[in-house]
Amino acid sequence: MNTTLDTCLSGQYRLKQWLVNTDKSAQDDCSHYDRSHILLVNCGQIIAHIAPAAEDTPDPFTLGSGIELTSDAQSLRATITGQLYRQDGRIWVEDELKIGGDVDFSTGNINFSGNVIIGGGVADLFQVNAKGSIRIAGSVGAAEINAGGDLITSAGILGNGKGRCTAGGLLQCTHASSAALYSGQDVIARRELFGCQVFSSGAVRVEAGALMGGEAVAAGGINCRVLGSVSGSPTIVCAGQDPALAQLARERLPALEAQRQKLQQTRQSVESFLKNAKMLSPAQKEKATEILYEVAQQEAVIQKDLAALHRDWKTSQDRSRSEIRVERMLHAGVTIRFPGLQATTTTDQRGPMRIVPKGADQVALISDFGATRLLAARPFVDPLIQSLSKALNLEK
Amino acid sequence: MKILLVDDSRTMRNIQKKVLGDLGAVEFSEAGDGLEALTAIASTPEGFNLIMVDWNMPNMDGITLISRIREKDKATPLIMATTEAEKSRVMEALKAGVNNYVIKPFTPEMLLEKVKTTLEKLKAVA
Ligand SMILES: [Mg+2]
Repeated sequence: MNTTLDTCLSGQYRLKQWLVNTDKSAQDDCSHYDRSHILLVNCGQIIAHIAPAAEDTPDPFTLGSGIELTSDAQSLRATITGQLYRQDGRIWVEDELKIGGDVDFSTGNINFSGNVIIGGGVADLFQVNAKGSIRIAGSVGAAEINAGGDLITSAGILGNGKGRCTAGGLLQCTHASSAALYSGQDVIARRELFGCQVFSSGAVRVEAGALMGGEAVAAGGINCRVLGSVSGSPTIVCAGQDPALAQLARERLPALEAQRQKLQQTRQSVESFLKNAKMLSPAQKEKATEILYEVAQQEAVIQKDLAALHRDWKTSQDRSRSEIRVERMLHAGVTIRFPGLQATTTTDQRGPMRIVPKGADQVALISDFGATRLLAARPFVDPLIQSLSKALNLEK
Repeated sequence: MKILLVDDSRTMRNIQKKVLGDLGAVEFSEAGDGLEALTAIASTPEGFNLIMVDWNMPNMDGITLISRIREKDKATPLIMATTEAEKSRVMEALKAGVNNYVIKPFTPEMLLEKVKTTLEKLKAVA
């Protein structure tokens, strides 16, 4: 609450004109998924033209937090980015977006620069994008949710093959099925992950339930009560490999390769120049100096990019943990991957156990009661990770 | 550190500026020929820590400029950066008073290295 504004600008005002769109449903060209009665404003945005209220002004209002008068006292300006409210004779802006019920046709898609709190769920095909964290009390359907920070849902994610949730931080739910889940930190499902594509730069934890079907890749290891299913539905788990690295390779390697090719071309053109250095005219010699300078510049750019990639690789390696923990049951038909190798279980194994790579061609199932069972492993190479390590000269 | 770059090619001056910027906190002045360089020197009473000189320039060439500078000033480090690669030219420049000689085309490392060693050598002598 901005008390200074409240005390200094405690006068009553009347509205002359809204400058924000208070009724998107009136727009014909607006998608149904984008129609919303939620008013979002940006910091510095002029919200309305106003004037001092008179005795007979209907609905006068005072100014709350997140808002100020312009220097000519004719307009209102938002001092923060957030949701605009006008209630009970007051206008204010909050930097947290609160939606009482579901995200559906009544709210439209949500795009917000701060944190979002949703009292209900998110309907199929809707989108919620927040630069901060997102908390959802209800269940998420085949929707797309993107949180810059944590994404916490108190219920389930029922992706139906189309749902996609991304969190820069922690991603947490009670259960998820047929959804793609991406997280910069841990993915925690309290009860179950079923048929999901899970990619976590932290750990994947289903401590009270089963991880079955689909694929889970986690840099920081995997921990679950049951892994795989009685029906043997194909389940792939990969521990110790950061999915962010594959993403990095996908995003950055093409540009790096293009830079290298450009450098190669520039080098070739200067080499043909320098072969006949003695025959060159003064102008050509100066041109060659120019090209040599360009080569050095391009090399510097490549070196800088490689150094950044190397740092990211190192960070990723530091947080990687090649270990899977299963508390109760590891079923047959589970493909277990670690960087460089993979093995598939052919029989059910009772936990509690840890699963770790052993040498270059075995996977060890180590029971908490002391017995160790070895699975023969075959090579597993992620082509993106391989090309990244090649680019970084990390190949043995 | 103050460096005067004398070259009739703006591109060459820009390259030298970027490469020699690696020497640290450098304040650059530029001249497009020998006459402009003499004006720049006259209007800089505190002097320059280094003058880079091209040979072939309009109005007054580099070799004349160097002779004119050395008439009064034996101390300021002078480096010739030129397309003139013949031994006789190098000898002529050294005789006129340059402290070192860089032949175009040069790589950024070659230029930086020449300048660094020249400045270090002169420092050691002083
Ligand atoms: Mg010239």
